[in-house]
Amino acid sequence: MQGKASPPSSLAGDLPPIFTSDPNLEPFSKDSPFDQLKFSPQSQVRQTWAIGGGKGGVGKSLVASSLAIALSRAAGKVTALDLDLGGSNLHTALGTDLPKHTLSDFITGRTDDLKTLVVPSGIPDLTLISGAQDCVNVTQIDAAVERKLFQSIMNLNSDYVVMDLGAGTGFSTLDFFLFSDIGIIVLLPEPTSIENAYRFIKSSYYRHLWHSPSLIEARPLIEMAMDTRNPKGIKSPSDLYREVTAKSPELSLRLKHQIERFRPKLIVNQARTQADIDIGFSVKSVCKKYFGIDLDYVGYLDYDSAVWQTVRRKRPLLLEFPNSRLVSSMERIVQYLLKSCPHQRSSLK
Amino acid sequence: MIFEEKISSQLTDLTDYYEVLDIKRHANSSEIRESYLRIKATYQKDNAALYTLISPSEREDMLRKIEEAYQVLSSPDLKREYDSVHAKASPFDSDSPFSDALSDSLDSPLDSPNIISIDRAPPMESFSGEENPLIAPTTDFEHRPASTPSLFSGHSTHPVAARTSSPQAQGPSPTSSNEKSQMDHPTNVAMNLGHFEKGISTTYQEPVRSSSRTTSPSSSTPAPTPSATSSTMASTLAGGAASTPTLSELDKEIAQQTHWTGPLLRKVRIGRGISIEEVTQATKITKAYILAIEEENYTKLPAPVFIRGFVSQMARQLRLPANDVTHSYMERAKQALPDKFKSSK
Repeated sequence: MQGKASPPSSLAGDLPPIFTSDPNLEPFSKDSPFDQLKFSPQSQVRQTWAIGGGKGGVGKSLVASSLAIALSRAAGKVTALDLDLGGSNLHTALGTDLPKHTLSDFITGRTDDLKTLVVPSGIPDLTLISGAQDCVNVTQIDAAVERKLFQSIMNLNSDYVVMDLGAGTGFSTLDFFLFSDIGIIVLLPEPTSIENAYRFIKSSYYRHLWHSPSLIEARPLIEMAMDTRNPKGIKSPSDLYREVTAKSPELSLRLKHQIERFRPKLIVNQARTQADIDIGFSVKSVCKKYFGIDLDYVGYLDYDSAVWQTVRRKRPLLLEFPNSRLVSSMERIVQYLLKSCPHQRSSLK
Repeated sequence: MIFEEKISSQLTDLTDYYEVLDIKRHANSSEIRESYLRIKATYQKDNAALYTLISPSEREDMLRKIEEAYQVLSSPDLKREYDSVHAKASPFDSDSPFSDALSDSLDSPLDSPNIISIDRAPPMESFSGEENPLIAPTTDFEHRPASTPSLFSGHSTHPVAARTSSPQAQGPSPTSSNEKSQMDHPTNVAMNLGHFEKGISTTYQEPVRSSSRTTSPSSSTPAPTPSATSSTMASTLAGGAASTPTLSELDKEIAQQTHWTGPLLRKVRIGRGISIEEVTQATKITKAYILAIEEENYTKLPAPVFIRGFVSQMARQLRLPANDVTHSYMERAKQALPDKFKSSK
C-alpha cells in the first residue's frame, strides 16, 4: 500500500452522510423498454449490476470482479458476466483460464441459453460467463440478439448478475448499462478518463431518454441532441429541455421525470490524494448542473501498487489481500449499494 | 396524470440557493459551509471535473451564484428571511408522500402547485432580450449580479455587511475546515461583496432600457384565459386605473413602458388574466406581499433584497422583462422610502 490519500473523516466507519441516496427511489425505471424483460416472473435474478465508464484501462474488470466476489460473500449467488465484446478479460481478473465456451457461442447462435456457458469461478457462490473471445470483429450485436441476451440473463440461476462492460459508447454497451438495475461508472482522476466518462454518461443519458416510451413525441429532438450539429442548435441537455418545453410543457415534465430516473453510480479508482477523491464530488456536482441527474458517488478506491502484483499473478485481489484498504473499500461500496438500492425483484412479482 | 416534479423552465433550478449549494433545507451551518467549500472547489479553474462539459463563462457564472447563495445562507438572519419568503409549499421534501396531494392539478404552467423555485422564469422564448438562449445551463443568472449588492446595502448593521469593512474579513482561507467559523468568512466572499457594492452605484444609474427588451407573447406559453375571479378583481382592485385591455394593446403598452410602478404591475397582471392566487401559487409569495407590492406599500414589505426578489418573480410570472421592471421598481421604492434603502456606506 502506498500513496495513500488521507481519508476525509466522514468516510471512516459507517456510511458517511455524503454518500447518501434516496432509499425510496426505485432503482430502475418502470418506463423503459427493458421492463418486460426485467419483470419476468419466473426469474430468479434479483438485481443486475453493470460496470462501465467509457475509457479502457480504468479498472472496470478489476472493479467488476472485486464487486462480484464481495457481493457473493454478502448477498447470495452471483454470476459475473463479461460483456466486453471486444476485449474480454474478466476471467483473468477472477483468476481462471479462458473457458471452452464463451459468450461467442451465444452471439453466434451456437447456443440459445446462457446457462450452458456458466462455469465455476473457484469461489463459493460465484460463477462466470466469459466474454466473446473468438469472434474478433464483434463489438456490436443486433437488437434481436441483444433482446435474447437480456432474456437469457434474467433466466440465470443466480441472485445477482454483475456485468463487466467494454470501453467505448457503442449502442450495445449503452444498452447493457441501461438494462442494469445498478449502473456503475468507473473513472480515474485524470482528464482523459473524465472526458470519456462524460461522453459515456452523455451517450447513455440520451439513449435512456430515446428508449423511453413516454418520450416518443420528443424523440426527434432527442435524436438531434445526440448529434451536436443539428439544425436547432441543441448542444446540451438544457437546450433539449428548452426545446421540449417549447413543444409542450407537459412533455417537458415527462422528460424531467425520465431524467431523474437516470441515476448512475460513480466510483473513482486509483485515488492518490484528497484532490483525487474530491474529483468524484466535483463530477457529481457538474452532472447535476449539466445533465440534471443525481449521480451517486458511491466511493473511491485507493491507488494501490499491490493491485499490479495480483494482476500479474492472475489472482483476484480480494483473495490475495483480504485485509487491504482497497478490499475494505470495495466491501463498503457493496454494502452501501445493497442498502441504498434494496429492491428485490422477487418482491414485485 | 400525476407528476411529482416541480415544473420549471430550466432543467436545473440554480435560482434556488439550496440547490446551488446542493444542500437540504434543514442543513445546519457547518453543513452549509462544508457544501459551499466543496461546490466552490468544483468550479475552480483547472478542475479536471469540468473538462469538456462546463465552459469558462459558465464556470464563472456558477462561482458568482455560489457566492451569492452562501452570502445569504451563511447568515442566520438572511437565511431566516430567505426561508420565510421562499418557503416551500410544504415543509417536506418533494419526494415525501405528502407532496402527492399537491401535485394533482397541472393544467397550465402557471398553476403548477408544488413549485419550490424562488425565481421561476418563463421559457426562454418569451424573452427577446440579449441573452443567448444557447447558454441555457446558466439559467437566468444574467439578471442576478445587480441584485446581489442591494442585498446588503440595506443591512448596515448586518454582520455580513459589517464584515466587508472590518479587518477580520481578511481571516482564514476558505480551505480551512474550521468548524466554529460561522462568522469567519472566507476572504474572497468579503472581497466579492466589496466588488458588488462598488458595482451597485453604476448599475443603478444605468438608463432603463425596457423598450428594447420587451416580451413577445410566446406561442408555447398561452396566456390563461381570464377567470371570473380575476375579472372581478379587475374592477375592484384596479381601482379604475384601466379596464382590462386586450392582450395586444397591453403588450404595446408594455413595450413603451420604462417606469414600472405597483399599479402598473397590477394592471398587467389583470390584463393577462392572472389572479393574485395564481401568482402566489406559482411564486410562493404571500398574497399580502403581492398586494403590498402592487399598492407600493413599502412599509409592509421585508428588506429590499426580498422586495427585489418578489418583483423579479412577479415580473416573470407576468412575462415582463424582469430585469428592467425590477430596476425601475426598486428605484422608485428607494425614492419613496430612503430610510429603508439607506446604504451601509
